[in-house]
Amino acid sequence: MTKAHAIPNIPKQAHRMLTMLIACWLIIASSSINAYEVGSRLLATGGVTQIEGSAGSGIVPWAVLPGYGQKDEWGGEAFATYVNTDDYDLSMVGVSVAINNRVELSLATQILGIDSIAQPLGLPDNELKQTVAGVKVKLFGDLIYTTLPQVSLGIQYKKNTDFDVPALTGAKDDHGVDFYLAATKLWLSGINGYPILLNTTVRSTKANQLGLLGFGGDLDDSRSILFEGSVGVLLRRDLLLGFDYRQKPDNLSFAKEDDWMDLFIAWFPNKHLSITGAWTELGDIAGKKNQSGFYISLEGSF
Amino acid sequence: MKLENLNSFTYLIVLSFVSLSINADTLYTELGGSEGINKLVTKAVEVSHADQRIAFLFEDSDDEELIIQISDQICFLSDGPCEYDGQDMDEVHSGMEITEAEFDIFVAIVIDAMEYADISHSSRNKLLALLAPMREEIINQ
Repeated sequence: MTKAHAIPNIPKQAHRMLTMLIACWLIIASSSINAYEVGSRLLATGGVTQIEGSAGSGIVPWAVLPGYGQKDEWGGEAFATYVNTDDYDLSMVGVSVAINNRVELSLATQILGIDSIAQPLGLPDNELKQTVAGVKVKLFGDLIYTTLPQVSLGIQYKKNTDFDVPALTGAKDDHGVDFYLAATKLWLSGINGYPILLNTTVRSTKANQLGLLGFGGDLDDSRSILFEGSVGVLLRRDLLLGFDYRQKPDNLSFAKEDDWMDLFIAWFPNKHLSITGAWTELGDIAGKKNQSGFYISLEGSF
Repeated sequence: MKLENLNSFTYLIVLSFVSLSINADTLYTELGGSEGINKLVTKAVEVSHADQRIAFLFEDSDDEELIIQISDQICFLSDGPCEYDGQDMDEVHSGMEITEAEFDIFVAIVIDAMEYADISHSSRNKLLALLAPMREEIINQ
């Protein structure tokens, strides 16, 4: 490695933390402004923002639209999420809007800190970054009011900022498109009056570790059809406890990729703000075993 | 992912669901009987009049009659000692052209009113579950 590549670890991590703090401050500041009209949908019905910027839970996109806009209204969310596992940290910020409770547009950036493997493996960078642009369209149904679940079709376009590290791992492409079909239903009476939410998502993807390690690989360069699911219970009107499971592809020979899961609790103090905490089990990531850790997300919505 | 982790996750979820499903009373009793139902309906109608987003929908209503009608209906739905002999929902709301947004605003007001009447989270949701199917007969009529 040349001198130019020997970037100290601390400034980049500090930069990530500073970005997250600014994002959190912006979310809190904007959520305390009551200048704009909040949407009409019921509390918590926009879910939270999942790690790729779509409305859903921690790691799974749901069929719901972000924020609280009903038909003939707009809604939206801004989010900052931080995940810290044994050997990595993942920072995400993004925004989304919902038009007419029908179409979601989202934009998010993800930064994975890989200090733990960058030096030992002599990698040219200690961060992996990508941008995700998403569109989701509600096809039919309503989360609460219809017998059928709410069903939406979504796409996520993902692009790596820098392809050097993904290329070294055997990834074939620096960009890719995920397609997913999500069905989400909330049963109000649930279990003895505690509403139960079920979500099933089917995704077609070539993304390695969300796409942070590129798309396609030396082992497998074809699309995988993967299952993602969430189950949740509304413990209170403003408190959702849930569990996510997400299947992952396994395209790279240098390190195996595991399914992800998390146990989350989301608190919606009002329609402007939500805070989600989770415990995540992310399995092996880029050769580091059994990555588990916490997840915290702050979101502003309208 | 380790199997024992999945097992403990599953165990936690099953446990929390089981702990939520211990119960005895009928919904009518849980709502506080005719007193509780009257309290929540009176509050909901009062707040609806004050909410500028939907107040116009209540402008021409005879509140006393409206409160009796809705209370009887809730009493009937929650297995209370009432007969509901009111009109069909689509007839009542005919010509009002209530939107999805206005419907949700009213539902939120009803939830607040149930909280005001000290009705528990689980009882609130059981009632909402009984009222939710009426949405199709209420909106866009």
